[in-house]
Amino acid sequence: MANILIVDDEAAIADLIQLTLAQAGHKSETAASGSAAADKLEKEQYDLVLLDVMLPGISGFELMEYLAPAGTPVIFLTAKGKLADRVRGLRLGADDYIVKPFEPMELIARVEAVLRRTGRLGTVRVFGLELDPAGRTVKREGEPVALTPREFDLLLLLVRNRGLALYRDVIYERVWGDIAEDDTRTLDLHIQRLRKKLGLQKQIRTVYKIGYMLEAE
Amino acid sequence: MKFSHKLALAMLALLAVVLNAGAAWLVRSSFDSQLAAAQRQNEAHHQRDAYGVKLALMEAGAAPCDAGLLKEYGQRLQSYGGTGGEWMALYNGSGFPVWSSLPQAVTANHQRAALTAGDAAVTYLDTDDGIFQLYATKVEQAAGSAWVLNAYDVTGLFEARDALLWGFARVEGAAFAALVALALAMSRMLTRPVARLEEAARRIAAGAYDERTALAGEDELAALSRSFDRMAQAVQQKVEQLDLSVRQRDDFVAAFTHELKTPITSMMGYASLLRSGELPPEQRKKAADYIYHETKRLEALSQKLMVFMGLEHTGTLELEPLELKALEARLRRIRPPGAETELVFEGFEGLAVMAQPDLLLALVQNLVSNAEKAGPADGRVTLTAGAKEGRVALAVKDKGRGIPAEELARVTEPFYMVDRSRARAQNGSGFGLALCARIARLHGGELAIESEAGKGTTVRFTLKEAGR
Repeated sequence: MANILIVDDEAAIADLIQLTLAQAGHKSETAASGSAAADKLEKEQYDLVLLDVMLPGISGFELMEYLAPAGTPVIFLTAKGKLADRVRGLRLGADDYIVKPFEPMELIARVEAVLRRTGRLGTVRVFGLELDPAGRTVKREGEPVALTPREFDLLLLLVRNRGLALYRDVIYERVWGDIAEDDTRTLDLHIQRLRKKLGLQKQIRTVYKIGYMLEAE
Repeated sequence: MKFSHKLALAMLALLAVVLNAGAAWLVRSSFDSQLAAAQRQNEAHHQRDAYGVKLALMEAGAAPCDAGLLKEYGQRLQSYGGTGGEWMALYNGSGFPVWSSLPQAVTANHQRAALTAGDAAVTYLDTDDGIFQLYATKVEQAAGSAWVLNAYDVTGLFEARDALLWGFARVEGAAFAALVALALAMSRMLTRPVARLEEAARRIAAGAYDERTALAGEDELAALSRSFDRMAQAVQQKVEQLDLSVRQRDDFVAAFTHELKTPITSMMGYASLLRSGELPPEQRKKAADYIYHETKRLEALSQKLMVFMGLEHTGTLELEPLELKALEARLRRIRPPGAETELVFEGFEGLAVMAQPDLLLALVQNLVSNAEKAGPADGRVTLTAGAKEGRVALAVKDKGRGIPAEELARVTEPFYMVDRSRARAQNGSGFGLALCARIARLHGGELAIESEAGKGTTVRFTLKEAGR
């Protein structure tokens, strides 16, 4: 659970990032210009800044120079995909550089990679479980539970989309990184094992004709 | 081999042929005349000797001729001192030698050959001791007959000729050595412009398009240099033009790609959200709305782009006369119902222009739309027209927010937007003014934009007036 500032002058994109981050359980705020972002940074402490380069007024690169001494991790998120721009962004001290268009899942993965590296990724608590995305461990009532990597990824996906019925093929795609075959018995098997290991028989619901959903707490 | 060397060698070879032929002819003709003179003199001398023998024979009367008489005559002649360089031999009628003062070099064979050649013939004898002319004459008298043979040394003549030839060859050799040096220097000087042209051509080929030769003078090479420089100038202009158009195209493609990325990012992102699971209704609505609006924006952009690209390949337009009143009517017809701003037309009455009606409408419509988006304070967009010197000036004025001075130069660049967020909100593509500028140019005018931030904007362009 991190607090993230999104700096982008395109409302559509800022909203999209906010929605995507909310799904992963992160709180976020948006700023539509460099100066608005600077104002917000002065008032509040953020765990990460997602920064567009082409902004009205102060550009993202200029804002970065102002930001760097504060030590807040920064990821550039921009349409400027040329090598020179990427090198410039990273040289300025950015932790990562994502070129638009991006996949929401990739964005989350990269955001969490930076948060993990900088020790800002907290644990997620749900139904008496304690998930540590950085260490990839799960504790049930304080006792570690052994999960396979796939099981952990599947759990993380369900936890991040609490209260949302996920389609079977999308779950398969996200966890196995593959297009689902006709028969996704593998998925059902993993769900059953998760339910058993974590005592989530009721909370992980099978949604008719859609897939699975972890109930909201 | 260098051209200057070829030139020098060709000139020298020609000179050598002419000079040698001339010299050879001169030496030869002088030698020939000297030889002929010597021959005449020697022949006369021989005739005298033959006559002497004849007299001696006549003195002998009718007595049969004998060898003794001839021998005695020969000795008598010898005792006169003979002469250096001339010798005599006497033979009896049947050619048997009687007396001889001939040098050893003239052998019996030679003598016989001379006798065989007979009267009035000169025989040349070339021996190691020298070159001789031989004359033989048969003297016949009642007392008997005898042969008189004279030999004359003409070696001197031949030696003089050879000495002359040698001397000439030496002089010629020295002269040619000097000439070679001179001719090389001169031909290098004459072909220096060629070297300069060659060097310039090489440097231009290597990319130095600003290289010029600028040779002074009035000859063919100077003319070639002038033509060459004109060609280099044309090449340089063309290359610069090509570079510019490539750069413009690159910029355009870069701007266009960048412009595509924003809608694609949000469309892809929202679609990805939608397909991941059952979103709450308000989120679903929001995602679908964004996808819809971004798609619409892409659609509008693609339409404008098609027109823009179409115009790019159009060199000139088919212009036709158009009443400005008709333009006004069409503009009013395509106004969306319930438009908040009012269009004011001034001076449209009675004027006609040469234009492509659809494109002109698109141009004016774009300018009007821009003026409306600027949020005019008085809710009006004013269109004025005025004829001057065969051209009609059209202007679209608004009292809206204006364009900041530092942005003014860039607003006709494709995809350039002064305020990106507001342009997006108004479904702007950043492409309208680029299109307008191109249409104006195809009509033979330029888009002139005057603006003051906060006060308003006026965009002017001119069209050709249609003759009535």
